[in-house]
Amino acid sequence: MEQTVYKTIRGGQQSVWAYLKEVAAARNLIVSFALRDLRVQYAQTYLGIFWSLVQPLTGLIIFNFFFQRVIHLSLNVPYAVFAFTGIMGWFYFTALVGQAGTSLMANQQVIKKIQFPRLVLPLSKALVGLVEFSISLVLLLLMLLFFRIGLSSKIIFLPLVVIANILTGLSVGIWLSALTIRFRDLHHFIPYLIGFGIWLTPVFYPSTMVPVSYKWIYYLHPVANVIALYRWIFIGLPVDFGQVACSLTTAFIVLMAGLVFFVRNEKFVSDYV
Amino acid sequence: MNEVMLEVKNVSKSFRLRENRIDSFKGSIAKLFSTAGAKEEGFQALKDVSFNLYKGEALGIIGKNGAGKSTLLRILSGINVPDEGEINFYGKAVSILDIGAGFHPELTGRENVYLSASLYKFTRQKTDEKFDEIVAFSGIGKFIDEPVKNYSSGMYLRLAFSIITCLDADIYLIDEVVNVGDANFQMKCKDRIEELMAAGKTLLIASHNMNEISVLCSRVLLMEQGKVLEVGTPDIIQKYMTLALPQFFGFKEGQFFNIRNLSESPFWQKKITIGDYGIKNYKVNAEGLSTSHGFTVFLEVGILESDVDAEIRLKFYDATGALIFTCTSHQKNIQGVNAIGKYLVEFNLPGNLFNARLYSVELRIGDSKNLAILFKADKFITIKMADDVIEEAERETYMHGLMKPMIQAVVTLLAR
Repeated sequence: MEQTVYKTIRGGQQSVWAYLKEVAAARNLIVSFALRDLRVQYAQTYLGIFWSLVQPLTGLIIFNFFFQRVIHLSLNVPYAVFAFTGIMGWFYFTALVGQAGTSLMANQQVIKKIQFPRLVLPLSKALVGLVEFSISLVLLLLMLLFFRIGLSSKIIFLPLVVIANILTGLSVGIWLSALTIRFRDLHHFIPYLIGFGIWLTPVFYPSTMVPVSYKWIYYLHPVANVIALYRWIFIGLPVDFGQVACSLTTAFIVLMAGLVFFVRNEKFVSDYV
Repeated sequence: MNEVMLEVKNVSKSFRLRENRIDSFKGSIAKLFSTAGAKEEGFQALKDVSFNLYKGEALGIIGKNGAGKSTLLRILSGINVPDEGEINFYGKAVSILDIGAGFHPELTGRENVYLSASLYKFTRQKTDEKFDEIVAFSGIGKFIDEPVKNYSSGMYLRLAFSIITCLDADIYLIDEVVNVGDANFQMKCKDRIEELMAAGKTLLIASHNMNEISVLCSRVLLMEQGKVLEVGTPDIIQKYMTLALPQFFGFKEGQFFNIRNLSESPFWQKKITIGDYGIKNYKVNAEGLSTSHGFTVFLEVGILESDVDAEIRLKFYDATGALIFTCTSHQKNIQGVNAIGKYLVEFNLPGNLFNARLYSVELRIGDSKNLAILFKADKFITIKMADDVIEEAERETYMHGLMKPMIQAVVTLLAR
């Protein structure tokens, strides 16, 4: 009797496409992991999810004090709104780099005992970050209301920019998650990467302050452009679409290469944990 | 019974050894510049493993620690990928390598049920359907909405086990799990496994517990150093025991028992001496001491001080270390070993008591007057018992159990 094969396990390489289909089939696991992380992170705290606002808000207060009271930076938009749009984009990015990057390490126990497409772990972090991002977004809207800045119709592009923000974060996060399993040193390196990164990114300062001779960096700096897009949407600052296209293409290529690298290495993950 | 559910074909797997792994940049860079051979030495955990699992059967995997049982299960679970070979599943499989592996202590029971179910690739809808059954079977009741970190370890295990066994799969791959928890839980696990078998599910169980395997499994696969040594009826468990414990039993060539040299063991208190000892009155057949024939364990004990009341005890263990019974020299109306002098102590073990297995006997001499241990030697005697074989065709059927007493059956025809 000819039976249908339910599943086959074989040595050798799996195609990236087949792998992505497996990930798609496990999409409810992405949600489950995201819910788990959100629940666990804020379990038994009084502020709950609103703790996710504490870090961006302290950042905002410090930047605001420094650039308004110490340096007297003058922009034609309120500095708090300017800085907060930057902080939102940057924090979503770093949440993805930091959490997606360490997601395989952090879930070694499950990885050792249960088979599932491991890419689910970094992907679930995008969802966790999205919830935190949405809360920041609410705060931003309140700030806009406070400063009486109206919403432009450009808001319809927001979902696309958020997706760009996610892809940018995952492009680094997926590489790091696959690499940290083999090279544990990276685990210690990630916080520094994030710490230095904020200085190279126009989060709390406008990119116009950067000397023209360094401007080329922004062609390869997707986060800077994602932030510029947020500012374009919410406070109408001009944006260089050539730069946006170039940098996001870079991010996309890095992401695709990261996916291939991840899939190639996935089968060794449980040998290494 | 002939329908194949799982087909394992020539599966091999080797692991890189830790010292050869490149775990850091430093190592990686050092490797780049080293001129040593690029070929990495690995540890081959599985060599060319092939077998079939048929619908409705329970196949037990046995072997020493490091024989490759767990590696095999991990590969079947898809956690590790084989270097070579192919595995075909003809049904949905779930693997239970660890109870509660996907649990998070901060989540409630309910949330963990959904998380675990999605880890085992069950849809949310399916989990919804089965949710009440899972809770009912686990007996968690109203605690289902409490974080599992507040559960007792028993509740935790029960919930985890319920999730896995209530969700409908065709093939269950189980590694040692039934050996966790208290006796009550283990019973429940075993009952559940038997229910699954009755429901026509297919099981693959790896375990060190020989009794469990021989009771649950209809076929046994014996592994040794990553290879399949034999697949067959639970009879081959006996073979495993001789294989697993040769040093333990220390039989000399052509012998079926070993008596330890007691002069090597220290006396705990110098109040006694030990003279001649050993076993006698036994009958040997082709494979061991005859199970149908008894034997005598004897020991000469000298008492050097007058305030001693020595009690000589023998403890009989099976090869897995389970205590079967104890016998003692402290019995009513027999000579006590309680004054200066020399004594001969004999224990007459009847025939038709032991099964065709390996046993070890521990010797313990205690002082009941001073409540002290005077002498102790484990594996004092190790023996291999075997059924008499007259002709291969008349070979006695293998009986499960630690012992094989001759129990008379009375059958009366009541009506026709």
